[in-house]
Amino acid sequence: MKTYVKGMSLFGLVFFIMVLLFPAQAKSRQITAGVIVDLTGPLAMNGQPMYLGVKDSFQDANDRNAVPGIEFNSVVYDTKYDAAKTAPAYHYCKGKGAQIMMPIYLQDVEAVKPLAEEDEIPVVGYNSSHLTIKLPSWVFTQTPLVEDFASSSIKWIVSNWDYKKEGRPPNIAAIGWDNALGNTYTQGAEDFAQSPQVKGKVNWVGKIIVPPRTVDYMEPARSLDEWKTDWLAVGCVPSGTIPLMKLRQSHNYKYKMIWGDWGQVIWGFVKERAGDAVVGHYWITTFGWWGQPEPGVKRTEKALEKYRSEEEIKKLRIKEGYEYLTGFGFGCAVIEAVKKAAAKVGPNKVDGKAIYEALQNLYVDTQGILSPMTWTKTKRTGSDLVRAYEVMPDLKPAPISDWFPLVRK
Amino acid sequence: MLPGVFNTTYAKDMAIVRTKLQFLAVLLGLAFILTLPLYLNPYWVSFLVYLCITIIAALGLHILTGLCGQISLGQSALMGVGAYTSGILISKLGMSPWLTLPLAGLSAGFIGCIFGAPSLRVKEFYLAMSTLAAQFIIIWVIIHWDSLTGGSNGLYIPTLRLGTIKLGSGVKFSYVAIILAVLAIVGAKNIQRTRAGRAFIAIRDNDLAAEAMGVNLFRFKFLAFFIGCFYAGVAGWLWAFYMRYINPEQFGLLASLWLLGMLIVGGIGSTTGTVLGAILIRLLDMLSDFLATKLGELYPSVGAQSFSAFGLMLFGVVLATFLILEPRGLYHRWEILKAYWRLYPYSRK
Repeated sequence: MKTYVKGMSLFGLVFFIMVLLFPAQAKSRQITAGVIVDLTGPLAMNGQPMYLGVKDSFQDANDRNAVPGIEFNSVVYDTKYDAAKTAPAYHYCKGKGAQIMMPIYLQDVEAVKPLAEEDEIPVVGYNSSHLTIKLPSWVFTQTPLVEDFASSSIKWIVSNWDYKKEGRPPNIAAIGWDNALGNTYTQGAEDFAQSPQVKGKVNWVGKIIVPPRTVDYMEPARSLDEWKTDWLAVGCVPSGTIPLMKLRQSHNYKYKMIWGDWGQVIWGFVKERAGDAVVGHYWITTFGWWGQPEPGVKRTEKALEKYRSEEEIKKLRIKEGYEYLTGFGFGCAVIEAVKKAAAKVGPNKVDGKAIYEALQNLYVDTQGILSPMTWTKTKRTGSDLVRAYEVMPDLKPAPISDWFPLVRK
Repeated sequence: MLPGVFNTTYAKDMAIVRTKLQFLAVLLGLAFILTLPLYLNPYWVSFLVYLCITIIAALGLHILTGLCGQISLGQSALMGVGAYTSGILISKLGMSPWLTLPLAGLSAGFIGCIFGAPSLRVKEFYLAMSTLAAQFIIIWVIIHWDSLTGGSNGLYIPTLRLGTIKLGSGVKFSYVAIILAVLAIVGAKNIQRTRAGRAFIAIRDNDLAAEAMGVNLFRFKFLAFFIGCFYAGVAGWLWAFYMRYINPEQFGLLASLWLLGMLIVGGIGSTTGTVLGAILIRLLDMLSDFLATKLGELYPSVGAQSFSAFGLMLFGVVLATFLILEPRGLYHRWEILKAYWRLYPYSRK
């Protein structure tokens, strides 16, 4: 009995000392983001770096203790770019405790909207459309509307056209695939070119709609030349227009091609396949670029070196595309929203509702990774500024303008 | 005592449930399925709904292709017709969602009949080509009639309500899906036992002989198209309320091919086989999603290149395996298993 009492007393003493020496660490609140993206489907080369960017931005925030008391993590569902997989993906992320949803592609942002609204889970999506900005809504997106890219591109062309030298307005045309992006973009370009804002400054020559995944561009390329097109606004991803790029080069057609944000999708591959046919292409976009002096870009470059192997960087062509940078900036926007929510309700009480409240009045400056974003109760597309890029003779894109205000319809 | 249970009357031979044990099994099965959503997490509930929708669409194809022998590659687009009929009637006319259920089926049925008309003149490969045209034409019309359909941007669907109860897209909604799937299974089983069902089978086996026996080919082929597409329309209705957002990309050719694959894997011509095929293919699809996500996450640089189209490859391998090793599908294996136990201990492996 004595031995038992002694033993118990000793155990109690040791336990007491242990408790004094190692007090329980305050456990951080976990904020889980459900990322809905294509990791192994047709857009995997775009989705993988983007997801890694989001993931690394969270890791970076955790390592820096960016929001004290909060630990960020993510769950991901690979939709393989199948529109029918969005609902299962949403329910999977919800089941894994996601308090915020981050769908990347437009079809996913649109499909997640009603489900998330029903469950009161905020959505920070990448792409926008008229459906995603329709209020009341729990959806906040980074990119502007597709037609706003068209307006901004035409505005930029007009601002940089040498009317004295040319003695006439620029001849502008648009081409796009027969899908949501192509139809919306080409129509947006036509509407803006004929609007009072640029009256007399633009000569709209027409638009061409081709079936999705078209490979033969001989007729459109010839027509555009016959129309004496100076600028061609392109409403499809560059990988789909490589034949057009090559025709333009081989036939020495003079028109310049200009894209919106989508102009750099899987750019590493486009460059490999199209070769120097990409020289002289232009983009009007909302994102920064590798090697630029902005602090946000420098931080992303450091994070990339810290968290990713050389093999990953090389195989995924991370430094040749915008995806990782954008993903990192996209993650930063979510971190800022959580930070604001935590400041208001305290880190332990941050939930979907608090994040939603924070998102309704938020300004995010990613310091050059993405154009600054503002979200309000009624304004749901984040980026307000765009920048022009040109592909230089060394096949690398470089910014050729400062950030300038987006032209909204 | 006879080793096993044998049917001694025609009525017994035709009955869906033939023994007390089977009746008990059906009751227990129903009880299991109806309580399933209560203990599943949101993802599995969502999977269950997805599975029910697939089963209904696949059963439609089973009636058309499995029973009547009319190959269709447009089942997914006809689901789209059902989904859009419902979406348009609700958003433009403010109609009750429940009222749009039969209308979704009817509209898909009628449009299916239009595209099924060539079946009176052509069959097999040529009919497949003609129904393939349906797949593309329907989607093209949906994309370009944007004042009505929302075009390539799609259409939002309000949440389904039962009186004041919001059914949402979770557990409550899963009961709607389960009930419709059970009704679809019972319907498909019964169609097989009717005069029309026997006419379908006669047409499938030899349409000339069927016509010589007095089967009206025109009537029964149209009927098969109508019923098969009606099922697709109902599946489309469910799909619209499950997704709460519809756009043309959800009803692509690949989905039609998957449905046809389910019939092959399950066993063409059998209702049970179709259900088994739908379950197996959907489970494989889900497995490939998980594997691809995990592999893609673990090995990002390899994932984007080597695991591309992982699900499609898996589907292709399963389909090829069944065609080579068990062309009669899962249903045949199920029949062998049942016969083994029925005749036990006199059965042979």
